[in-house]
Amino acid sequence: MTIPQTDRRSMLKLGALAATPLAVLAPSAVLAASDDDSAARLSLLETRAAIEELARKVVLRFNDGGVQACADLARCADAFRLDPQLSAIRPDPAADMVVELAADSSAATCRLACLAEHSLAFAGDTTIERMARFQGQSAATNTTSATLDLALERSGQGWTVRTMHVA
Amino acid sequence: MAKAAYPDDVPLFRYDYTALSLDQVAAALRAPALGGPGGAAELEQLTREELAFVATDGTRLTWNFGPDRQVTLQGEQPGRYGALTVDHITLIAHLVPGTTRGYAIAWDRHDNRATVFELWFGGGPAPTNREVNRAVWHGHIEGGARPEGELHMPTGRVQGRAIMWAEDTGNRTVDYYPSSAFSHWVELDRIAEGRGYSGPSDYIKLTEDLYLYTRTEAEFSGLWQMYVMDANRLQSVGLRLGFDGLDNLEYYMFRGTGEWLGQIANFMAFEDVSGDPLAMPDGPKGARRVYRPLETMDKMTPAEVSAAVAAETHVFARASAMAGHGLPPSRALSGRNFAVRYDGGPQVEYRFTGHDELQWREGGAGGWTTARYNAWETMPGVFIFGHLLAGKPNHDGHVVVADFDNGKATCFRGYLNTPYFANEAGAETWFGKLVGEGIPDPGTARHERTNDLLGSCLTWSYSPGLTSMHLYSSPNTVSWIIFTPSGHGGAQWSGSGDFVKIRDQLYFVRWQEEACNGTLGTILINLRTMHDSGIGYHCGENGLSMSPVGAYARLAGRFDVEKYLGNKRGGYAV
Repeated sequence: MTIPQTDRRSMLKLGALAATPLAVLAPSAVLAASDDDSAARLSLLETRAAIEELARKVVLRFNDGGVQACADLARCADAFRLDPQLSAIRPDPAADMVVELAADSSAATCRLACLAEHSLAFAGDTTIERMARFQGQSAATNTTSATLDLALERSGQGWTVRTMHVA
Repeated sequence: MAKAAYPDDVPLFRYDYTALSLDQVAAALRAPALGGPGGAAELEQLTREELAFVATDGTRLTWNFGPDRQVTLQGEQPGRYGALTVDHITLIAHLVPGTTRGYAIAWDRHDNRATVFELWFGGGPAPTNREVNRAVWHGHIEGGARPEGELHMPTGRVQGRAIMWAEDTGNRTVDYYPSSAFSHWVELDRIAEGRGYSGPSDYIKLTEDLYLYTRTEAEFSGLWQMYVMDANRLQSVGLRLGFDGLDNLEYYMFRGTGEWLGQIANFMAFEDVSGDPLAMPDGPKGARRVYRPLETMDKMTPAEVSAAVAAETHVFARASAMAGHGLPPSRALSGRNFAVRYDGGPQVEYRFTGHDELQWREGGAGGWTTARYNAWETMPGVFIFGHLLAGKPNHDGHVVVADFDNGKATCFRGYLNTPYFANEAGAETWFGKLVGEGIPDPGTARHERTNDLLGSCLTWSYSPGLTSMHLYSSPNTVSWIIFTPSGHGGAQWSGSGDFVKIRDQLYFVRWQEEACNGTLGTILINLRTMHDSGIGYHCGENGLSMSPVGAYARLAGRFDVEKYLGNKRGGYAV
């Protein structure tokens, strides 16, 4: 199930969202537990907001301190399956974050178009790397279009990262 | 090694230059400071009595001139100057008696813009007393019309040119300017061999037509060469200062006549004409980035090489930044058996038992040795492959180009335990033929050395951010230039090279990084696909390795140097 967005772009779509049958938006468990459609819709939006917040936090932390800085957001240490040369994730501001919730609401996925910056350190023994270092260049950065994929699971009242890919 | 002003039996990077003391330098400068620079041209007498220079940083220098070319700098002991004018730029040079320093002034007589070089021996930043230091100021001469607009400044406008300069001394050089911080030159008269060398340089724009160029022959004699060149009229006036290989002082001014040899492409942004891409603005006086590769090179004995090879040998065992854009290895040799019969050399038999494993033996007898190899089919029917020859006393590595369509083969044999540093790769070029089922016999035909690439510049993009340019500057020299992030040519160095034509637009090239990391680089260049495949052979404290090389190519252009360098094959044992 795809959860609608809560960012500025998605707010513009709320009118359309309101017209969408709830059965398409929410798992039956959510609907069954809801007193009415408004409560279910609110619950979904709160879920989405929490997932978006986690995704933003992961990106900010990764860009600030790599996977080590994200450790407490993940279920286990090997959750971050990333190219070791990945140095930064730059979310595409024009792209929509796509969030999907499992039927039982215990898990979710989050996909976001981004630019992936890979940093190639000039640390080797080759002459060209030595000369690059001589010139004051310690690394080269290569930027490519990519997608951030987060697999999430519920953790108490919040969410935690089960796996993270950028490809 | 015979002592010589300009050695005839070894390259400059092998010559044992004397570590001159500052007292020796001072003694050598004493009389020339009083007498002024020499030269074949008639030096000019300035009519002006005073020249007061004000630099952009507030530095003020005042010279007073007298009859008979006398000059006094701000109350110091008087000496004699030399002056020569090209168009409206007058170059003035003098040494300060009783010191080991001097000055060179480029003065624009039209608008009083000026650039001043202080030149000195000893006290750094150069690591030896014989290497000339320089500091540069841009500013103006007081007393006339104050210049409007921009002063002289470092420029990227000279980058990409090459000129053959004939001095009035009779000495000619091919000067390549493929960088905005370094240059490359080939002596046509002082040295017979025709090998190119690289050194740090200044490029300063004086006017649209007139540029100032300097180079310091750092890592070699330490000599300083500078000239003001008129790019349109191809005339120059210049100064040479420093000590030759016999420790004789060269201190003279000259006039030069140039021949334009071409212009290659530049890779800065189109609007970027800035210069000095390796500037060190916060460094001490005279500081700049001078590439001194011998300082950082591992220097090992044969025993250390043996130990390093035994401890760590890596043959195509790991990814290389030099092959990030390389072609995938070919598996097409797997299952093939053939021999390579080298003229005047061994016959090497091969059984390719897998896509990365072969067996070899020499001389048609004895046991087979298993080795790891990589191969690339760079052009249909033409393979380059390489492997180590375990058990050879000099840790040989063979890089072979085999053309199965015509039966020709050429090998670049790399080896260690060379005379200067045991870990520095030596190289030989072997020509031969393939012998095997279904392979045509070329008879006596062989691949041949070629000048087809002479003067050419190819860029090589090995991995993101790792791009260099090769300048095939002479029949036995490969020079390489490293780009800065802005696309300027930056650091440059050079080593022995060899060039073999395999087919039309397919060339087998090697270079040795002598006194500079010690690597043997080999590449098979396909000018039709603008891609190469090759192998690097390197030994250092981290062991011996053979690793892939592969890069995208661009043709930056070609200098027309055939008539000056085409017959300078040379090639001293290095």
